[in-house]
Amino acid sequence: MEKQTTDALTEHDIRDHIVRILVEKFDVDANKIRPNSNLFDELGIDSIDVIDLIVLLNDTVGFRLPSEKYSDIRTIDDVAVLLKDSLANGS
Amino acid sequence: MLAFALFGTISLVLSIVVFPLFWIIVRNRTYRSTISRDLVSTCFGLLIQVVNRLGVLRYSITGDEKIQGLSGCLILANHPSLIDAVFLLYMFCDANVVAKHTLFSNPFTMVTARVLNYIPNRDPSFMMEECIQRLKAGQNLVVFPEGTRSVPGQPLRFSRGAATIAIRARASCLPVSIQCIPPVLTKTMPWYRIPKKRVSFIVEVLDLIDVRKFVENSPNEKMASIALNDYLRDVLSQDAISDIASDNLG
Repeated sequence: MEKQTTDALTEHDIRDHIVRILVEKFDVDANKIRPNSNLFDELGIDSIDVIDLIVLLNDTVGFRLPSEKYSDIRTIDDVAVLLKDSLANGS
Repeated sequence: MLAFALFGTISLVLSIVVFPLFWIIVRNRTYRSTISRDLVSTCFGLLIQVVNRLGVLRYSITGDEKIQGLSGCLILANHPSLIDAVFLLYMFCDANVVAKHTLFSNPFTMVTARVLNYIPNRDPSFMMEECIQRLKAGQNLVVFPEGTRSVPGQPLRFSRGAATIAIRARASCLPVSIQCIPPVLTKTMPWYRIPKKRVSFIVEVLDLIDVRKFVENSPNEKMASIALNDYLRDVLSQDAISDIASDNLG
Protein backbone atom coordinates (compact mmCIF):
# COMPACT_ATOMS: atom_id res chain seq x y z
CA MET A 1 0.00 0.00 0.00
CA GLU A 2 1.69 3.18 -1.12
CA LYS A 3 1.39 6.38 0.86
CA GLN A 4 -2.02 7.77 0.08
CA THR A 5 -4.39 10.45 1.25
CA THR A 6 -7.48 9.63 3.19
CA ASP A 7 -9.65 10.50 0.19
CA ALA A 8 -8.27 7.56 -1.75
CA LEU A 9 -8.51 5.06 1.10
CA THR A 10 -11.66 3.47 2.35
CA GLU A 11 -11.95 1.95 5.77
CA HIS A 12 -11.98 -1.38 4.02
CA ASP A 13 -8.61 -0.64 2.39
CA ILE A 14 -7.11 0.38 5.70
CA ARG A 15 -8.42 -2.69 7.49
CA ASP A 16 -7.20 -4.95 4.68
CA HIS A 17 -3.74 -3.48 4.95
CA ILE A 18 -3.62 -4.02 8.69
CA VAL A 19 -4.78 -7.61 8.30
CA ARG A 20 -2.13 -8.22 5.65
CA ILE A 21 0.58 -6.97 8.01
CA LEU A 22 -0.73 -9.11 10.84
CA VAL A 23 -0.74 -12.22 8.66
CA GLU A 24 2.60 -11.64 6.91
CA LYS A 25 4.66 -10.10 9.71
CA PHE A 26 3.11 -11.48 12.87
CA ASP A 27 2.04 -14.96 11.70
CA VAL A 28 -1.56 -14.39 12.75
CA ASP A 29 -4.03 -16.89 11.34
CA ALA A 30 -6.10 -14.99 8.78
CA ASN A 31 -9.14 -17.12 9.57
CA LYS A 32 -9.21 -15.82 13.12
CA ILE A 33 -9.26 -12.16 12.16
CA ARG A 34 -12.43 -10.08 12.45
CA PRO A 35 -12.68 -6.26 12.58
CA ASN A 36 -13.45 -6.37 16.28
CA SER A 37 -10.94 -9.13 17.07
CA ASN A 38 -9.08 -8.34 20.26
CA LEU A 39 -5.42 -8.22 19.34
CA PHE A 40 -4.26 -9.43 22.72
CA ASP A 41 -6.84 -11.99 23.78
CA GLU A 42 -7.72 -13.50 20.42
CA LEU A 43 -4.80 -12.95 18.06
CA GLY A 44 -1.80 -13.51 20.34
CA ILE A 45 -0.49 -9.98 19.91
CA ASP A 46 1.17 -8.25 22.84
CA SER A 47 2.22 -4.68 23.57
CA ILE A 48 5.60 -5.07 21.87
CA ASP A 49 3.91 -6.40 18.75
CA VAL A 50 1.65 -3.33 18.81
CA ILE A 51 4.74 -1.12 18.82
CA ASP A 52 6.18 -3.04 15.89
CA LEU A 53 2.84 -2.86 14.08
CA ILE A 54 2.72 0.91 14.53
CA VAL A 55 6.30 1.22 13.24
CA LEU A 56 5.30 -0.67 10.11
CA LEU A 57 2.25 1.57 9.69
CA ASN A 58 4.46 4.65 10.21
CA ASP A 59 6.50 3.48 7.24
CA THR A 60 3.31 3.09 5.25
CA VAL A 61 1.89 6.55 5.91
CA GLY A 62 5.23 8.36 5.94
CA PHE A 63 4.88 9.95 9.36
CA ARG A 64 4.82 8.86 13.01
CA LEU A 65 1.41 7.95 14.31
CA PRO A 66 0.69 9.62 17.67
CA SER A 67 2.39 7.52 20.33
CA GLU A 68 -0.04 8.58 23.06
CA LYS A 69 -2.70 6.53 21.26
CA TYR A 70 -0.81 3.23 21.49
CA SER A 71 -2.22 2.33 24.87
CA ASP A 72 -5.81 2.73 23.59
CA ILE A 73 -5.38 0.01 21.00
CA ARG A 74 -7.26 -3.21 21.70
CA THR A 75 -8.80 -4.35 18.38
CA ILE A 76 -8.10 -4.17 14.68
CA ASP A 77 -10.81 -1.53 14.44
CA ASP A 78 -8.87 0.59 16.96
CA VAL A 79 -5.78 0.42 14.75
CA ALA A 80 -7.85 1.23 11.67
CA VAL A 81 -9.43 4.25 13.37
CA LEU A 82 -6.01 5.49 14.51
CA LEU A 83 -4.65 5.18 11.00
CA LYS A 84 -7.68 6.78 9.37
CA ASP A 85 -7.78 9.71 11.82
CA SER A 86 -4.05 10.30 11.44
CA LEU A 87 -4.31 10.31 7.66
CA ALA A 88 -7.24 12.70 7.85
CA ASN A 89 -5.26 15.05 10.09
CA GLY A 90 -2.17 14.75 7.97
CA SER A 91 -0.04 13.55 10.93
CA MET B 1 12.99 11.59 57.97
CA LEU B 2 16.63 12.67 58.00
CA ALA B 3 17.30 10.27 55.14
CA PHE B 4 14.46 11.79 53.10
CA ALA B 5 15.77 15.29 53.86
CA LEU B 6 19.26 14.32 52.79
CA PHE B 7 18.05 12.76 49.57
CA GLY B 8 15.89 15.79 48.86
CA THR B 9 18.76 18.18 49.51
CA ILE B 10 21.17 16.31 47.27
CA SER B 11 18.58 16.14 44.49
CA LEU B 12 17.76 19.83 44.83
CA VAL B 13 21.38 20.98 44.75
CA LEU B 14 22.14 18.81 41.75
CA SER B 15 19.07 19.74 39.75
CA ILE B 16 18.96 23.46 40.53
CA VAL B 17 22.63 24.36 40.78
CA VAL B 18 25.05 21.77 39.53
CA PHE B 19 23.40 20.36 36.43
CA PRO B 20 22.29 23.75 35.04
CA LEU B 21 25.93 24.83 35.41
CA PHE B 22 27.08 21.71 33.60
CA TRP B 23 24.53 22.43 30.88
CA ILE B 24 26.02 25.87 30.31
CA ILE B 25 29.71 25.16 30.84
CA VAL B 26 30.25 21.65 29.49
CA ARG B 27 29.32 21.67 25.83
CA ASN B 28 30.38 18.16 24.90
CA ARG B 29 27.25 16.09 25.42
CA THR B 30 29.01 12.76 25.99
CA TYR B 31 31.52 14.16 28.47
CA ARG B 32 28.76 16.11 30.22
CA SER B 33 26.59 13.04 30.72
CA THR B 34 29.58 10.97 31.86
CA ILE B 35 30.64 13.37 34.60
CA SER B 36 27.03 13.97 35.60
CA ARG B 37 26.34 10.27 35.99
CA ASP B 38 29.58 9.85 37.94
CA LEU B 39 28.46 12.63 40.24
CA VAL B 40 25.05 11.03 40.78
CA SER B 41 26.75 7.71 41.52
CA THR B 42 29.11 9.34 44.03
CA CYS B 43 26.31 11.24 45.76
CA PHE B 44 24.11 8.19 46.00
CA GLY B 45 27.03 6.18 47.32
CA LEU B 46 27.57 8.76 50.05
CA LEU B 47 23.86 8.82 50.82
CA ILE B 48 23.86 5.05 51.24
CA GLN B 49 26.81 5.25 53.60
CA VAL B 50 25.19 7.99 55.66
CA VAL B 51 21.85 6.22 56.10
CA ASN B 52 23.75 3.07 56.96
CA ARG B 53 25.80 4.86 59.63
CA LEU B 54 22.64 6.52 60.98
CA GLY B 55 21.18 3.06 61.49
CA VAL B 56 18.28 3.65 59.10
CA LEU B 57 19.26 0.97 56.63
CA ARG B 58 21.72 -1.87 56.42
CA TYR B 59 22.68 -3.26 53.09
CA SER B 60 24.56 -5.97 51.29
CA ILE B 61 25.86 -5.91 47.74
CA THR B 62 27.26 -9.16 46.38
CA GLY B 63 28.48 -10.17 42.96
CA ASP B 64 29.55 -6.64 42.07
CA GLU B 65 32.85 -7.92 40.72
CA LYS B 66 30.78 -8.87 37.66
CA ILE B 67 30.24 -5.18 36.93
CA GLN B 68 33.91 -4.61 36.05
CA GLY B 69 34.44 -4.04 32.36
CA LEU B 70 30.76 -4.32 31.50
CA SER B 71 29.96 -3.00 28.05
CA GLY B 72 26.84 -3.06 25.90
CA CYS B 73 24.97 -4.84 28.66
CA LEU B 74 21.34 -4.71 29.65
CA ILE B 75 21.07 -4.63 33.44
CA LEU B 76 17.70 -5.87 34.63
CA ALA B 77 16.43 -5.71 38.17
CA ASN B 78 13.24 -6.46 40.00
CA HIS B 79 11.73 -3.36 41.57
CA PRO B 80 10.36 -3.73 45.08
CA SER B 81 11.07 -0.21 46.34
CA LEU B 82 11.90 3.34 45.31
CA ILE B 83 15.30 2.79 46.95
CA ASP B 84 16.24 0.41 44.10
CA ALA B 85 17.16 3.28 41.81
CA VAL B 86 19.53 4.77 44.38
CA PHE B 87 21.53 1.55 44.59
CA LEU B 88 21.49 0.84 40.87
CA LEU B 89 22.61 4.34 39.91
CA TYR B 90 25.35 4.08 42.51
CA MET B 91 26.54 0.68 41.27
CA PHE B 92 26.22 1.28 37.52
CA CYS B 93 27.54 4.82 37.27
CA ASP B 94 27.75 4.99 33.49
CA ALA B 95 24.48 3.30 32.63
CA ASN B 96 21.65 4.71 30.60
CA VAL B 97 18.21 4.83 32.10
CA VAL B 98 14.74 5.11 30.61
CA ALA B 99 13.02 8.01 32.34
CA LYS B 100 9.45 9.29 32.38
CA HIS B 101 9.03 11.68 29.49
CA THR B 102 7.43 14.26 31.81
CA LEU B 103 10.85 14.79 33.42
CA PHE B 104 12.07 16.24 30.13
CA SER B 105 9.39 18.93 30.10
CA ASN B 106 9.08 19.69 33.83
CA PRO B 107 10.99 22.95 34.49
CA PHE B 108 12.50 21.51 37.69
CA THR B 109 13.80 18.31 36.14
CA MET B 110 14.26 18.96 32.45
CA VAL B 111 17.86 20.09 32.72
CA THR B 112 18.75 17.11 34.90
CA ALA B 113 17.15 14.64 32.51
CA ARG B 114 18.95 16.17 29.53
CA VAL B 115 22.33 16.54 31.23
CA LEU B 116 22.21 12.90 32.31
CA ASN B 117 21.16 12.02 28.74
CA TYR B 118 18.46 9.63 29.86
CA ILE B 119 16.07 8.11 27.35
CA PRO B 120 12.50 9.50 27.42
CA ASN B 121 9.70 6.91 27.39
CA ARG B 122 7.16 9.04 25.55
CA ASP B 123 7.25 7.26 22.21
CA PRO B 124 7.62 3.49 22.71
CA SER B 125 9.10 2.85 19.28
CA PHE B 126 11.64 5.67 19.66
CA MET B 127 12.50 4.50 23.15
CA MET B 128 13.13 0.92 22.06
CA GLU B 129 15.20 1.98 19.09
CA GLU B 130 17.27 4.36 21.21
CA CYS B 131 17.88 1.65 23.81
CA ILE B 132 19.00 -0.78 21.12
CA GLN B 133 21.31 1.75 19.47
CA ARG B 134 22.99 2.70 22.73
CA LEU B 135 23.53 -0.96 23.64
CA LYS B 136 25.00 -1.65 20.20
CA ALA B 137 27.30 1.32 20.74
CA GLY B 138 28.69 -0.41 23.83
CA GLN B 139 26.78 1.53 26.47
CA ASN B 140 25.03 -0.14 29.38
CA LEU B 141 21.33 0.25 30.14
CA VAL B 142 19.45 -0.28 33.39
CA VAL B 143 15.80 -1.30 33.16
CA PHE B 144 13.07 -2.61 35.38
CA PRO B 145 11.29 -5.21 33.24
CA GLU B 146 8.15 -4.78 35.32
CA GLY B 147 7.95 -1.18 34.22
CA THR B 148 6.79 -0.19 37.68
CA ARG B 149 7.32 -1.25 41.29
CA SER B 150 6.28 -4.77 42.24
CA VAL B 151 3.19 -5.30 44.34
CA PRO B 152 4.36 -7.06 47.52
CA GLY B 153 3.17 -10.63 47.68
CA GLN B 154 2.26 -10.74 43.99
CA PRO B 155 4.25 -12.64 41.31
CA LEU B 156 6.55 -10.52 39.17
CA ARG B 157 4.93 -9.40 35.93
CA PHE B 158 7.56 -8.73 33.29
CA SER B 159 6.75 -6.87 30.12
CA ARG B 160 8.50 -8.35 27.09
CA GLY B 161 10.02 -4.96 26.25
CA ALA B 162 13.34 -5.42 28.03
CA ALA B 163 13.85 -8.91 26.64
CA THR B 164 12.99 -7.65 23.15
CA ILE B 165 15.59 -4.92 23.44
CA ALA B 166 18.19 -7.45 24.57
CA ILE B 167 17.42 -9.82 21.72
CA ARG B 168 17.40 -7.15 19.02
CA ALA B 169 20.60 -5.58 20.30
CA ARG B 170 22.15 -9.00 20.93
CA ALA B 171 23.08 -7.55 24.31
CA SER B 172 24.10 -9.67 27.27
CA CYS B 173 21.79 -9.44 30.25
CA LEU B 174 22.93 -8.94 33.82
CA PRO B 175 20.14 -9.73 36.27
CA VAL B 176 20.25 -7.94 39.61
CA SER B 177 18.12 -9.28 42.41
CA ILE B 178 16.90 -6.76 44.97
CA GLN B 179 15.23 -7.51 48.26
CA CYS B 180 13.94 -4.97 50.75
CA ILE B 181 13.07 -6.32 54.17
CA PRO B 182 10.75 -5.13 55.61
CA PRO B 183 9.14 -3.50 52.57
CA VAL B 184 9.51 0.27 52.38
CA LEU B 185 8.60 2.82 49.72
CA THR B 186 6.68 0.16 47.85
CA LYS B 187 3.94 0.67 45.31
CA THR B 188 1.21 0.09 47.88
CA MET B 189 2.76 1.94 50.79
CA PRO B 190 2.67 5.72 51.38
CA TRP B 191 6.15 7.23 51.33
CA TYR B 192 5.85 8.48 54.91
CA ARG B 193 5.14 5.03 56.30
CA ILE B 194 8.54 4.10 57.64
CA PRO B 195 8.93 0.66 59.20
CA LYS B 196 9.84 0.51 62.88
CA LYS B 197 12.43 -2.17 62.13
CA ARG B 198 15.70 -1.23 60.39
CA VAL B 199 15.48 -1.91 56.67
CA SER B 200 17.74 -4.56 55.15
CA PHE B 201 18.48 -3.91 51.50
CA ILE B 202 20.04 -6.85 49.73
CA VAL B 203 21.41 -6.55 46.22
CA GLU B 204 22.79 -9.58 44.40
CA VAL B 205 24.36 -9.26 40.99
CA LEU B 206 23.63 -12.57 39.31
CA ASP B 207 25.42 -14.28 36.46
CA LEU B 208 25.63 -12.72 33.02
CA ILE B 209 23.23 -14.19 30.47
CA ASP B 210 24.32 -14.70 26.87
CA VAL B 211 21.17 -14.07 24.80
CA ARG B 212 22.59 -15.78 21.72
CA LYS B 213 21.47 -19.16 23.00
CA PHE B 214 17.89 -17.89 23.12
CA VAL B 215 18.15 -16.62 19.54
CA GLU B 216 19.70 -19.88 18.32
CA ASN B 217 17.08 -22.03 20.05
CA SER B 218 14.04 -20.06 18.87
CA PRO B 219 12.33 -19.90 15.45
CA ASN B 220 12.18 -16.09 15.48
CA GLU B 221 13.09 -13.08 17.59
CA LYS B 222 9.66 -12.81 19.17
CA MET B 223 9.83 -16.37 20.52
CA ALA B 224 13.41 -15.73 21.64
CA SER B 225 12.32 -12.66 23.59
CA ILE B 226 9.42 -14.55 25.17
CA ALA B 227 11.77 -17.33 26.27
CA LEU B 228 14.30 -14.83 27.60
CA ASN B 229 11.58 -12.87 29.38
CA ASP B 230 10.30 -16.01 31.10
CA TYR B 231 13.84 -16.98 32.10
CA LEU B 232 14.60 -13.53 33.53
CA ARG B 233 11.34 -13.50 35.46
CA ASP B 234 12.13 -16.90 36.96
CA VAL B 235 15.67 -15.84 37.86
CA LEU B 236 14.52 -12.67 39.58
CA SER B 237 11.57 -14.30 41.32
CA GLN B 238 13.75 -16.27 43.66
CA ASP B 239 12.56 -15.50 47.16
CA ALA B 240 15.40 -16.97 49.12
CA ILE B 241 18.23 -14.75 50.26
CA SER B 242 21.53 -16.42 49.59
CA ASP B 243 23.70 -17.15 52.61
CA ILE B 244 26.48 -14.99 51.22
CA ALA B 245 24.18 -12.01 50.80
CA SER B 246 22.65 -12.23 54.27
CA ASP B 247 26.08 -12.77 55.88
CA ASN B 248 27.28 -9.56 54.22
CA LEU B 249 24.61 -7.31 55.70
CA GLY B 250 26.38 -4.30 57.20
